[in-house]
Amino acid sequence: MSEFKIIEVKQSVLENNDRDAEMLRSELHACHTFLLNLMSSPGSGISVSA
Amino acid sequence: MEADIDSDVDAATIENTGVKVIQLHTGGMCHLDAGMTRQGLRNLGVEDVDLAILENIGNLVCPAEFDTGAVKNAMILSVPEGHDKPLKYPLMFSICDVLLINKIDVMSVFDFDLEKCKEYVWRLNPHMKIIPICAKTGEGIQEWADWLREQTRAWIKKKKGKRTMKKRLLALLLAAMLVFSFAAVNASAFADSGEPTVLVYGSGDYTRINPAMDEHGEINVLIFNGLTTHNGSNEIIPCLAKSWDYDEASCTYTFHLAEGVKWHDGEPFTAEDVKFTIEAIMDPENGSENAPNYEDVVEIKVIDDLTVAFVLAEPNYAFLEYMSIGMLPKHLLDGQDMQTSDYFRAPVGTGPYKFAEWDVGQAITLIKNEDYFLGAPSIDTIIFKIVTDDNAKALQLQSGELNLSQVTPKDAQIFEGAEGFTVYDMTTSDYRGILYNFWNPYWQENADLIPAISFAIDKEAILNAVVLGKGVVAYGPLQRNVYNYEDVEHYDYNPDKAQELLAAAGCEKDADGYWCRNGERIAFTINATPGDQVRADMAQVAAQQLQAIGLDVNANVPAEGIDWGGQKCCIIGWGSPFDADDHTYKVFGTDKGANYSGYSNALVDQYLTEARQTNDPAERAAAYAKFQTELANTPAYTFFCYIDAIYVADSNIHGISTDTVLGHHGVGIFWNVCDWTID
Repeated sequence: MSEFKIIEVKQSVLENNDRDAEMLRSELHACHTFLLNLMSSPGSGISVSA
Repeated sequence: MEADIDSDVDAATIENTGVKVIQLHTGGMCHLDAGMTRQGLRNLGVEDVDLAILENIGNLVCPAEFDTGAVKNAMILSVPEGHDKPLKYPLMFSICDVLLINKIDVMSVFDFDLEKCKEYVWRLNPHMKIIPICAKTGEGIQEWADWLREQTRAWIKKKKGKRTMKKRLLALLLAAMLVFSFAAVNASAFADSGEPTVLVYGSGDYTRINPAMDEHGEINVLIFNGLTTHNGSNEIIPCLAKSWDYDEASCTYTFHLAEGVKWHDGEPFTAEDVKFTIEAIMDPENGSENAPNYEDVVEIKVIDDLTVAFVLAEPNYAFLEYMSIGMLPKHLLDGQDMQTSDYFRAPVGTGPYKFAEWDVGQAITLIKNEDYFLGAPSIDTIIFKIVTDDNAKALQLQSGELNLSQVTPKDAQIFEGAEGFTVYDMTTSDYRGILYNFWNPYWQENADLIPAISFAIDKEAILNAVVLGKGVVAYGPLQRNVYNYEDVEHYDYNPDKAQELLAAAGCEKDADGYWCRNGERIAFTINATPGDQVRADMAQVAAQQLQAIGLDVNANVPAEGIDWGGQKCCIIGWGSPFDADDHTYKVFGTDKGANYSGYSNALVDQYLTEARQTNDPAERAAAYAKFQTELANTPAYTFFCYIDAIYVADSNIHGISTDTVLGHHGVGIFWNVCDWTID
C-alpha cells in the first residue's frame, strides 16, 4: 500500500510539472522567445582556463 | 541561463562573450523543472531575447524526466563517453530533438564508432537530428548554428498577428560550447501585410453539421439561416422569411420568403426547401432531437416559390421560435439519409459563411459568403479549431493558436488584464445539475430520496469552488426567462434536513456511518462528460458533499462517454435563452426528444402543453408557475447553478455583443458575426 502511495505522489508532481511546462511553452510562444534546453553529462564541453 | 549546483564559473565564461547571462543555483537538486526555468527566465528578462539557452548539465536521468518548458531539447554526447551511451540512458536520447556529438577530433583515440552511435540513437528516436561537432576546431558548428537559427525562426513565425517582430537575436550561451556568430534576424521578414482576416475559434469536436437533427452547434448559425432569427435581446425577428401572418381560426402561419436568396452552390432557396426541412425533422424515422418542437404541425403547404404555410393542430405560441432552425437544401438532400448523409460533413447553406474544408478531428474551415443575402461579413475566414480539452483552450489562446474561445472561469483569470486579450463574462441561460436516470430501476425505487440528496448539496459552494462564483445558484430551469416562478422549493443547502428526510424514508446508517435502505447502502456514481472540466469538478464536489452526510457517492468521468441508458446519474446541462417552451417541453415532457432522464409526470406534461397553447401572457405565466412548482416537488434534477460563459478574444476582434444572454454551452456568441471585424 505505502509503495503505491509513493508512486502516486511522484506521478502527481510530474503531472503538475508537465502542465506547468506546457504553460511556459505557451508563454514563450506569446513573447516570441525560443528556449533551448541543453543537457549533457559533466565534461562534454571544452575546458576554458579561468 | 547557467544552472549549477554551485559556483559561477560557467556564467563568468559566458559573460566574457558579451552575451546576457544569469547563474541559477539549484541548491543541490539534480534537475530543473518548469517552475525553476520560469523563475530564471523572469530574472534574465526575455523581452529582447529571441533565443534563450538553458544549460542543464547533470546526470542523464532526472533532467530527462522533467520537462523544463523548453521548445526543443538538445543533448551533447562527447566522444570519450563512448558510442554505447544511448543504450544506457534511453530516455534521454528519446526526448531530445537534436544530438551534438562533441570532440570528434579525438574519435580515433577512443575507438568511438560514429555509425554505431547513430544507429543506437535512431533506433530509440528516428527523428533525432545528429550533428557531429568539435568545439575546439569549430567543425560542425555552422550546421548547429543553422539548426538553431531555423528552429528559432520557425517558432517565432508561428505567432499570428501583426505585431512587428522585435529584437535582435541574442544567444544566451552555455559554457564551453563555443562562440556562435548569428546574423540578426530581419524583423520585416515575418511581418504580414494585407493578408485575409482569419479568426480561429476553439471549438468542441463535430461528427457532423446537421441543424435539423442536432440541438446544439455553434457552427450552425454561420452556415445556415432560419425563417426567423433572434436579435441581441433574443427576440424573434425576420430572416429567410421577410414577414408572416397568423390566422387564429385555422392556426395557420403563412411565411413570405425573402427574394433572391441562394444556397452556397448557387441554387435558389424556395418554399420547397422549407417544407422539406421541417418534414425531415418531423419524420419519426429520422429521430431528430428537435421533433417535439413541430409536433403540432399537421400540414405544410407550398403556396408558391416564396410562400409557405404551416397549419397547426393546436395553437403553439413558441412556433416562431422554432422557425429559427437552420433550413436545408432539398436539391442536395432529397432521398438521402438525414442522419448519415455525406452532406452533413460538407454542408451547403444560405448563411454568411460557406463550408470550405473539414480536417477530421483538427479543424473546420469556413470562408465568407460574398453573396450573403443580408450582406457579406467582414472577416474572411473562420476556422473552428477542434480543441476538446478546456485547459488546452487557454494554452492555445496564450500561444496565439486561437483567437477566440470559451474558457473555464479558472483559466480566464490568466487573461484578466493581460495585454492583447479581452475577457467577455457573458450571462447565460445555461444551468448545471444532477440528472437522475429514471430508466434505471434504482431511481424508480428510490425517487423519493432525491429531495434529501438535493438538500445535502451546497450549491453556493459548488458555484464558488468550481466556477469562482461566475453565475447564480439554481433552483429551476427557467430562471433566465420572463416566465420564471420563484415561489418553489429551492432546496437550499440543509444537511440536517437531508438526514431527517433519509431517516423519515426508513433509511438507517450502517456501522461505517453510511446510509442504507433495506440493508443496502445508498450508493451511486455521478458521471461527468469527458473533456468538460467544470462538470468533472462539479461531480467531484457534489460527491464529497454527499459523502459528508453518509451517502456512498463517487464521481467519475467515463473515458468512453456517458452511458445514458444504463447510468444512475450524471451532471446535466440545459437552458434556453429563448421562448420558455424551448428546453422545457422536450426536456421534461414524457418521451420527448431531449428527455434524457426518462422523467414522466402527467401534470408536468399538462402544464407545459397549456403554456405553449396560449398567447396570453397571464395564462402562460400561470401554466409555467404550475409546471415549475410540480417539477420542484417531484424533481427530475438537482439544480446546482447557472454558469456564465467566459469568452476570451484577442483584443483586435471587435463587434462581440456583451449583453446578449447566451444559451446552453454558451452557444450564441456568433449571432451577430456579420458585424465582427479584426483590426
